[in-house]
Amino acid sequence: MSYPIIQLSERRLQPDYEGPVFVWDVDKTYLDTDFKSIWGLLRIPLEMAIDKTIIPGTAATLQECRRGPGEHPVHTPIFFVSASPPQLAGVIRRKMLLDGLQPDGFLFKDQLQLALQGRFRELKFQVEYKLTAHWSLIADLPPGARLVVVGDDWESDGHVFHLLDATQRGDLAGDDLAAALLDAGVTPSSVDPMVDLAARATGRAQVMLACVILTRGRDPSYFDPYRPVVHAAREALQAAALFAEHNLVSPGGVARVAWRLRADWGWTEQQVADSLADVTARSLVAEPLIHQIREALEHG
Amino acid sequence: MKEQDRERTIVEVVGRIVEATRLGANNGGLSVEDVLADTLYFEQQRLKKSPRDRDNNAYRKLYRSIRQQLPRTSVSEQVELLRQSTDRFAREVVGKFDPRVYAFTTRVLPVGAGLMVNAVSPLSLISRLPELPSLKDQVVLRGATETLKGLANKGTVILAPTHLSNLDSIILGYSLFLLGLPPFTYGAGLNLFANPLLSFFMHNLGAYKVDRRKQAGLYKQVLKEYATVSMEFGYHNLFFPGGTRCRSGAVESHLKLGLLGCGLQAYINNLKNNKEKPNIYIVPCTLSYGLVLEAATLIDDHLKAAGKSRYIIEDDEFSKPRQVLNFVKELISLDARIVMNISEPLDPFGNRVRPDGTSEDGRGRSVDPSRYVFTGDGPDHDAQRDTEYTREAGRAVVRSLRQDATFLSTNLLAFTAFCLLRARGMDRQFYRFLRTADDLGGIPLNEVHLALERLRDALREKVRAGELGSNPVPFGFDPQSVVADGLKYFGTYHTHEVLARRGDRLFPGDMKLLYYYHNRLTGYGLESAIDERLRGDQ
Repeated sequence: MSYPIIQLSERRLQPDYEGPVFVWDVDKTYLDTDFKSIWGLLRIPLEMAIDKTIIPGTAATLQECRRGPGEHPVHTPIFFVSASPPQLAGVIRRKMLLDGLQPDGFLFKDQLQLALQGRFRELKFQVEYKLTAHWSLIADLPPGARLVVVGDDWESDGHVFHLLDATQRGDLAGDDLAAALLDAGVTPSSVDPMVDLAARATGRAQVMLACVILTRGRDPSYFDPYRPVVHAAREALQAAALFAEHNLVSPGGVARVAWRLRADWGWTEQQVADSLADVTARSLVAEPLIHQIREALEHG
Repeated sequence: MKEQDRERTIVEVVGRIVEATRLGANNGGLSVEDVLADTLYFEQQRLKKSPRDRDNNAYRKLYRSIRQQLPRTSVSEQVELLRQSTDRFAREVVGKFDPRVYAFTTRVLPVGAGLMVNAVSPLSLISRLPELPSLKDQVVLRGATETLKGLANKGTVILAPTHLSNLDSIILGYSLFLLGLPPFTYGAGLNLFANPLLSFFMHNLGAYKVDRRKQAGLYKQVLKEYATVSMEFGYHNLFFPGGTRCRSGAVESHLKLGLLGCGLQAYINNLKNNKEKPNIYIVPCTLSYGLVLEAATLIDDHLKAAGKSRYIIEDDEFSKPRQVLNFVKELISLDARIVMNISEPLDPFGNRVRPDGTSEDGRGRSVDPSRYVFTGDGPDHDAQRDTEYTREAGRAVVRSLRQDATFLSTNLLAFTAFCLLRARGMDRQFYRFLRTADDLGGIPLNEVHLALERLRDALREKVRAGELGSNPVPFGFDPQSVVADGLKYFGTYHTHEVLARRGDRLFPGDMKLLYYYHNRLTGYGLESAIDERLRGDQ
């Protein structure tokens, strides 16, 4: 049985496009959604865009992702994957508008359809949804596009990105993929449709980089098994630095993220310095780039 | 106007007008009978279209009586009838100021508006408690604020702001309060006195009533004389020199000089009466909003008749409390700033005034403005000369307003997008272009960014050349931020998105509103910076 997904796309890339395409998770990666408490769950449908809070620094990081690494903005494509129901699309879009973000498309989990089909387990379980959403999106992307997937450490994003990378490279397919999906907890009845969907996506849009932002506070070493593709960033500044290392944003862009963290989120100079020192120590970012970022910070 | 000054103001206004009419009649001007007949004619025309409420019925009764008496009266009896008519007008016009209402309003309005807005989002209100939201953070005061404060103690100030919205007088009043200045008196349209949200405040905060449907010369004379006398009594005034809200959204370039001329009349009267502080200072001021509440109605009116616009609009967004609430909500939720830019002050002759209150000419040399009005032995009025001085002052005000204009992201983005679209649709007649621009397709964002960079350079050039003030774009001009910020505004308050982004292109959603917000930057010759083909349109 196919997985019910609502896909909203506002941009069709040229067939020969070979640049990066960001795919950001929404909940807990950009929006600070509280799924754990009853109060948090009750709040979600009641919240207006202005009430929604974000993970510190992610709006600035997303703006820099859009801007790109050069002097002139390149409008790098950004798509969002959300486990929220499509009924929240309006509020999420408006929140992004308020934050100055420019999404090119969304994928929502059609929770109503899941409930109507009696697939209650899948309402909360995300692996099936995330993989299906990514493969559905990839099917629409130019084959040469390079994926930059961004998630968080609350669910199984690290594992999802790892599987996605393997299937896109063609290392995991058919029965092996089916076994991997079952191991990951996918409902047996969903495995075959997912393997078919993966087969259609394989070879298109390779994963260039996967970033997990540790908004739950897990230790970065938790994601070591998924390296070299999956990298852990403790917060948005480290994510921005990681993107700069892969020439997706500029050193000045990382500095702008740091300024926003200081201006809007009360970060101190020391926190910025510690964050940058940590990504160097963990070999996510090379020293020369950190030097450029520090220079940009000093020279405003 | 304070209670203790009301009666003497009315007596002074009526006395002066009756005396001037009598003298005028003796010197070959309109006779008193003619002035009365003129008043009767225009008032009857007005009353034909007016409802039968208490005020209008009182007028009907008065004019019926005058009409019956007029053919059989002597000149002295006609003067008495003129006195009655003038007195009726003056009593209607004169404003009332209640210090208790003022104190209450200045304490409660900013928080009240904030609460009103947040009542729409209770979660937001609860999360901020015990801190209460306020409008204070929304108003940005720039320019010669300290000079304004200083001059308010050295003489009488006429604040001459641009006029975009009916909210202007509220914002200006609140800004003056933030600056620590006493309330200014100003003329407000009758529709504001009837507005359910504002009526109580308009009646008690010093605004005087201007009924634009009253076309009689006598009524206009009462308005001018009232403004003159109030200035002589030391009341700072606020005139919108454009006369009414600017329909096109552009910075005013044509002023109505009538009320501006009152400053000169008051100055001469002050000199003649040896007042301790005779000086009158004109302080131009530009107000800029990211969004304008009544933009849709105003631009419709501008385009409908292109020059034959309605002078009085009573059915706009401002008359709908829900719409006002929605607008204020957007203002706060967008963290929108309203910028009030105070220009260098001028004297009634258009000379620049220094912070110490002295005047200087165009070459920076000190001048004594009182010498401008000396005739023979002392200062006096001279209608022809004074008209020319007022024109000169008007030109100086226009120069200041245009030079000190502030451009916000909505203006910059709308100007750029509109010009890019116009360049593509050059072959279409303008109105057809407005109607059919949708089919020109979207504008690629990278094209918009490059055009914004050219606009930024052109604005810098204007600043260097002294055609614009030092910082016409107060919140920075990073093209990407301008686009993001502009889209944020355009995507919210108005019924249709003014400009919408889909993917990496911008699409016009409401061409008329796009034109309205674009107009703020017109008249500076900036179009060719966006596209060389528009040089002819400048």
